[in-house]
Amino acid sequence: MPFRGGWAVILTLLICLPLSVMHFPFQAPSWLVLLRPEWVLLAVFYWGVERPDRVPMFLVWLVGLVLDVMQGAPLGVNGLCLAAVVFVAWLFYERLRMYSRLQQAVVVFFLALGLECIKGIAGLLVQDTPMSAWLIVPAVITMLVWPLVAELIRRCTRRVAWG
Amino acid sequence: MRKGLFGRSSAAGFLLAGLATFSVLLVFIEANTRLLVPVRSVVGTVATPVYLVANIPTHIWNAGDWFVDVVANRVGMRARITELEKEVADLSAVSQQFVAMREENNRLRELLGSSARVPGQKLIAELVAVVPDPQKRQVVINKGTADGVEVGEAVIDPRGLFGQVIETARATSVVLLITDTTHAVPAEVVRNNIRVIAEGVGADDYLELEAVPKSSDIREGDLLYSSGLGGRFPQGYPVGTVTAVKKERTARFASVQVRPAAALDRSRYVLIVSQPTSGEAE
Repeated sequence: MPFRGGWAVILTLLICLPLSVMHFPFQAPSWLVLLRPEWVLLAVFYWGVERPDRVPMFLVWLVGLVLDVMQGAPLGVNGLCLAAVVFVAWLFYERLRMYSRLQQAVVVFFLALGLECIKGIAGLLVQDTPMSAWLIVPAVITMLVWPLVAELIRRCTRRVAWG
Repeated sequence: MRKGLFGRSSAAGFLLAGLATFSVLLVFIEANTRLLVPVRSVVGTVATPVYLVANIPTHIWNAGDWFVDVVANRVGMRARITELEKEVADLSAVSQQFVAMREENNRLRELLGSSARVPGQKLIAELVAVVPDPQKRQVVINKGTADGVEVGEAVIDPRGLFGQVIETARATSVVLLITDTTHAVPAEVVRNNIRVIAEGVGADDYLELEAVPKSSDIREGDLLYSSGLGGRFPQGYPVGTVTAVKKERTARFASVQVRPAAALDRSRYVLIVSQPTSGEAE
């Protein structure tokens, strides 16, 4: 069974998808959106490092496609960035596992910043949405929540049988 | 070279290169053609359960509100019902007049030789998600192609013009708000029928009027209604109120700010208005 335990990866992604479009039930100022971490990126990075053999790049790309539709981004942008995250994880997972959560957080920051920049540039080129320097905020937030999210996923999936 | 994951590191590189090329290709196709509209629609349909899950906290919140209203606050509820009944009575009086006036208006239009206006179909929809991008003003509603929603239909809320449908999936559609930077709506001033174009600037609380000559008679407090020109929006829905008019000596045009009539950041229920006559595409 090459994908034994893969359901844990898919479940994590399925939880992260609604988190990335969830909105407040009450009226909230629009800048609050900036404080949303890139949940899917966090999940993909976590599993890419922890279980690189259970994270198929094409599946992650498809998840990125769904994210594109939900975020109103040009099709393919999120897929490209998430596939690149998987690639980085696949290449360096041995080294990344040795890092502390805080060191990993720095890597997460640069990955998230790259994703925000590519989204911003694609939006600017394709949809004429203005690009602002505020796109660094989601990257910082993603970095800050990384240790918590990583620890949470680790504790929740401790008993998964990977085969 | 290092030996990668199970010796397939270079395979991973090729896979990434392939996916990256394909992604960039998709972006270019989407930027230049309309070929990917059905793809977006299909992916949106797949994503519908995600919206349902994402909306659970809102439902819980509303249930909490309902509990407070119904169980804990009967007296307030009663007062509110009375208030709403009064409002309904008021509104129905106005709408009775409205029916008579519409008939009269159509008779007059007949006399003038122009075609009568037929009211469009209306469909109530609930907001299920907000597109999580501070640069965009888009929301997702819970009606889609299955309910007959089409791209380009106007969306209003109880106070005024809300936006237009830009993407449809089976059970959801995406609405572009009138405040989005890529949105503009043809409008006219109620007082003197000056035609203007109200453009979104990405701010939640105002629109700007495009290319208004400094000599034109637009004042603070003027009401703007959709003019129906361009064929995209039905005529006669409130767009907003002029809140500021600046005429600077060095500027070529007057800068006019308009506060949208619709409660763009608050409305949970909106109406999709389909036009009986088919509007032209952009």
